[in-house]
Amino acid sequence: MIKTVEYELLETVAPVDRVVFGDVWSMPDDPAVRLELVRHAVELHIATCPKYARFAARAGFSVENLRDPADLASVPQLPTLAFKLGDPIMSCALHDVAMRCTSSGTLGRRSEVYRDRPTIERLLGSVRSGIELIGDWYDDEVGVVNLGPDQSEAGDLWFAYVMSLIELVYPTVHAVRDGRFDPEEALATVDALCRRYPNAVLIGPPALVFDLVQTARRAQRDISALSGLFVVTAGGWKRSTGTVLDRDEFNTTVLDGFGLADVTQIRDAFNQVELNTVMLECGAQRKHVPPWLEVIIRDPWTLEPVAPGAQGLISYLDPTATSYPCFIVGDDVGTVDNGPCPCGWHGRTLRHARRVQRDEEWGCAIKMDRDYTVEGNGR
Amino acid sequence: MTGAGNADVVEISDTTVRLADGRKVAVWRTGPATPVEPRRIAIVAPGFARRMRHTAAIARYLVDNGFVVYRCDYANHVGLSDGDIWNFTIGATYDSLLALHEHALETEQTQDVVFIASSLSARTCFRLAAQRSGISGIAALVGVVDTRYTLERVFEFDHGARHPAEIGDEEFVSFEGKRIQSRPFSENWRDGGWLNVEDTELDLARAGCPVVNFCGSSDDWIDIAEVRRVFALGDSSRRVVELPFVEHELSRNPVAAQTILRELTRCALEFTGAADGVEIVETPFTSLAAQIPYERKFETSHEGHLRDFPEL
Repeated sequence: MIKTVEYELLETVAPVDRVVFGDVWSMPDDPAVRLELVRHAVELHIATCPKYARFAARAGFSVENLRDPADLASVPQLPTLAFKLGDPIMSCALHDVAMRCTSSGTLGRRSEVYRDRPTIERLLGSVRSGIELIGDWYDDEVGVVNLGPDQSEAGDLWFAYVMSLIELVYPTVHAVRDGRFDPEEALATVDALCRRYPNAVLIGPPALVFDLVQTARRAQRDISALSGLFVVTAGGWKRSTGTVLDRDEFNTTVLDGFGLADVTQIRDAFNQVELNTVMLECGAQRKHVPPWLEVIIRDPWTLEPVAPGAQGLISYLDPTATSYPCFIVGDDVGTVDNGPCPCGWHGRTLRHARRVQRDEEWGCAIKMDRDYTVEGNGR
Repeated sequence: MTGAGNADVVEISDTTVRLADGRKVAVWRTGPATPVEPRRIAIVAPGFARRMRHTAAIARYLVDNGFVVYRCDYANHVGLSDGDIWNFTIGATYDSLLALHEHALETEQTQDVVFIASSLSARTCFRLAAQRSGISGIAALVGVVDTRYTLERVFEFDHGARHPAEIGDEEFVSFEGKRIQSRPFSENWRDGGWLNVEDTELDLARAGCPVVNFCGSSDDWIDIAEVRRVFALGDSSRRVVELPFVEHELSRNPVAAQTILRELTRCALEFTGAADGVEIVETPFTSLAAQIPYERKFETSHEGHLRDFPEL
């Protein structure tokens, strides 16, 4: 006698998980799918986050009005400033919080974002799908050098924590230990992993990668093993000294300094603490927007959506977060391109033009630059 | 350079057991040094081409719920044990699990253990339960009942249709970039009684313990209707749990995996006599995030030929 049991927790394999953990870059980039995912997420957060429910009510928003993908622009979005007020915005119980995540602000204006386990797992899912833009690798085919600390040492530095999570996916060596970064040791590790694994990846803030190249040059290191190395940057391009690294100069310096075979081996990643999706570049160095994430470019003065392809304030509707409403207006100006990408992957790509000018800009990469590099006097 | 922060890991103690032909099988034990009462012992069997460390999450869930957990890498497989996957046979997986079962019973001085078995290893556990006592239950995760059906999809051709005599010495099949010599595998597949689903039916009919199979409805490698049919031949202690939208590679969806890990743990607890609906201790994300790199680092440090490389 068979006793076939229907699974009682069907809803745990949520529609959003079928997208986030599916073959992300093979599925259609369908606005109708995003409409459904965002609608579910908005319903959840209105039901479980009183602050967001009040915010939505004040805006006169009703989920019933979400009938068409064009309606997504009407979903109330929180300014990232809302996460800096010291009053948690949460859609889950405190005991469900797996990680309190803070931005790197040093003058009392840190964002605080509370993530439960599904929210972090989905963030990690976006990292995995981003890596798929680089290569389709098994976990024993890749060695990673992270120019940051491990999880326990990452503390509240958001990008350091996100970068440290790569060790859940691939064998990883962390180059920052006890708050110290030794470029010589990091270079030796990169060299060793390039010789040991079919694929090796160096991840870190652009400033640290840049300085590592300079160190290799000064020491006249043998870079013959590094030609296949992938370099993934994250955290932003501004240094603690205030200078902004030029991407083209960075590409040339890293390409030559490490002897990389091709500039397509250099990829940048984008995330901010309030956003639950990490976006990585393809070989054409364009940041691909995964199919679950709605990106709306808005006029910075009216907050109305701009014409397709026009530049404006970047805002997001991210349905992957369950512990907080990840419907945010960010701090960056840029554009979304719906056209085909030279890399061959379909879907939208996002280009960041610049940060919104603020009195205080302490990005995560700036803090790591200040703490760990020579120019930042971190040593 | 550091690996994982070790603040929240359950440490591994490792040993080896030997097969009848002398090959060494690497064994990990996690859990309290002295089992707490009631004694709960589990063996976690990784799937094909998976290592002990790939089962870090389920092992950690079981430990956090009072189990002592044993795992092994199979002989002639990937991992720390003797032999290379080039010489893989299902029989070597069976032999490895048999040796581990004997070791666990003797070491823990216990009457029986629970098996948690993934994919192809579940098939060998059905045979173990048919031939041996000392197993209180098998909780299979995407457990294979028809190896020919599954491996036809894995290898992308019906390898089982070929008689070993037709296969050349140098022929091989590939999986995830790893090569397996075809003829010895095929010989053992047939001669060992692993090839046909009728053999699974016989083993399950003889198995003297409850068997539960958690199957994904989106699993392309397993025909869930066939699982239902085969399990229907047994008594009411056979159970099939369907997981809508779940694929064969469960680790790809960690949100769904959390629910399934919880249900597997509940199942294992019930095999050891816990009451229906027993409360499950949920392993925190931070604990898993520490355990996974710790186990990878532990594995690396025990691969002798890799000791000249940086610590991972």
